Amino acid sequence: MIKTLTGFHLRTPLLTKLRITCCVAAVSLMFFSGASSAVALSYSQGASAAANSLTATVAMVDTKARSLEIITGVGHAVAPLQLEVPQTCRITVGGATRQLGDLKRGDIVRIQYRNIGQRHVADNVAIATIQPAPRGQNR
Amino acid sequence: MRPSVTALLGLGILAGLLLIPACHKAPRLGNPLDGLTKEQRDQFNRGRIEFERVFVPETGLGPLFNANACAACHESPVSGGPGEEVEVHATAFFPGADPFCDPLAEKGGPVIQQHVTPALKAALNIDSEPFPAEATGRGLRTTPDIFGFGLLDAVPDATILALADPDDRDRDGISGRPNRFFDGRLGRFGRKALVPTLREFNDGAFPVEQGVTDPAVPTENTIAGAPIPNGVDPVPEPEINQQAIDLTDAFVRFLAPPAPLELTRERTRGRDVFSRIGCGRCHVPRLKTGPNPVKALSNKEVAAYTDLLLHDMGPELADICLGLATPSEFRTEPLMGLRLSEQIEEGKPRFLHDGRAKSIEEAITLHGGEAAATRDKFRALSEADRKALLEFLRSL
Repeated sequence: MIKTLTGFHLRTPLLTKLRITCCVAAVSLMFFSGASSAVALSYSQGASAAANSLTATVAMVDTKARSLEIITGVGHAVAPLQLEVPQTCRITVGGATRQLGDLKRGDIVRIQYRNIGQRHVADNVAIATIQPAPRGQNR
Repeated sequence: MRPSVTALLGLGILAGLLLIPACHKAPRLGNPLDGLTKEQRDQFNRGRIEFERVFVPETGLGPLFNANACAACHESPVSGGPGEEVEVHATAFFPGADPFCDPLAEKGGPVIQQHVTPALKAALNIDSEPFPAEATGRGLRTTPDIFGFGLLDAVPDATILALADPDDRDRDGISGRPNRFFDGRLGRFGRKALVPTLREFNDGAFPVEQGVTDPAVPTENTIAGAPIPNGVDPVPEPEINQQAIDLTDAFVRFLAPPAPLELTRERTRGRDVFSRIGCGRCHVPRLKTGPNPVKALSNKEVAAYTDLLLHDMGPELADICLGLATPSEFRTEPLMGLRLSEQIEEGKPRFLHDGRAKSIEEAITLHGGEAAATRDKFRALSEADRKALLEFLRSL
């Protein structure tokens, strides 16, 4: 026996039947109303999907060798990428031209680059955001 | 005799009242969310097979790995639950005027795999990936449960950012701030909240945890930065296809959050204590998802008990940095499913990010930094209030 919200007592088999009927009805209603039709999953993908364009964090700047190492990745699969930065590469902040030496590690940059053999050569580097300093000092 | 309209109406109302709880019963642990379409349930069921699929070197495992299946770690008491396994992370933190966290990617970081295939062992005579000498921090990471993570993924960025108070302008001693991925997007997954989306977390987990390359990460891990010796990894990349990763993602995304246990009088008291001493300032009881193409994830409340923000937990807990997170900053751990970690065998790592706490009570007392004041309030609780709070936490 099960006591209902209204204080009545019902024998379990009847209750079970009622529940099954309700659930079947609800599922049928969903089915015939089209609620069960496929809903395409839309996953938010990483922002760096384009083959030769990505946004990443600067890990190292070598002004003598004119090279840049950036950090990118997918989830915890983190990967470094070394880029050559020729004199012809345009480096900007908010549209204003900057020098390679103006970049510092921790900057988030939007980079357009070409693959030449095993080398990656930057064409454009735009500082997307100047990273806000992490709070505290190695606390 | 024909039944009266009133009697029929009464029966209808009675039937409705009886059936409401039957149709809205919370999913059992390890089951999918309510409200999925037939196709999504099918994806979930097929995804579970992928989640439990055991890899061997001939099917892509390794050469470096932490486990041979998702469910080898996320296993207790069902697939998606917490596990006993503890992994090792390493990064280098450079404090100063422009603090910087190096994830040591060129040295195999931040995840340092603890197992190798027989072929790699034969080639290099190593049993795990060498720990990078450049690391300034070493972090141990227990295996959390992943129930309800699809709902966490569906919480809008704006909701999380609205909870942030990096400069503690309200002067309550709590100053949560967001972490950012390397491209600047808001992070939320992982103990340091580095990873922006569940999809990326899953895509990255196959190569990092199992050494199984996928279409999103089609290159193998290096061995502490060095290339893999010839002949050690014979399976062509990617080692699993898009369909397998999509199904795995669907399984994880559609896993229902654990239903909390019945709210007894003592647990109700404990919930009040939780709120009164300030636990809920970081462990925010409920978050709401935004509009989502998956109806079962759209505009839902999730009792996650987290704000998905970074908080300074004090020097005693500090280990690695990651993204913007300093060594002492950790994302507020979701408390939904907390009771499941208590079911892990005693003596095994159970609570806190590194498993150092043997009980929920010990985990609370190890809170420091921003949580120190609340921890002290916990210590000062009456025996009855403390017992009620712990009883409430064990019901999540």
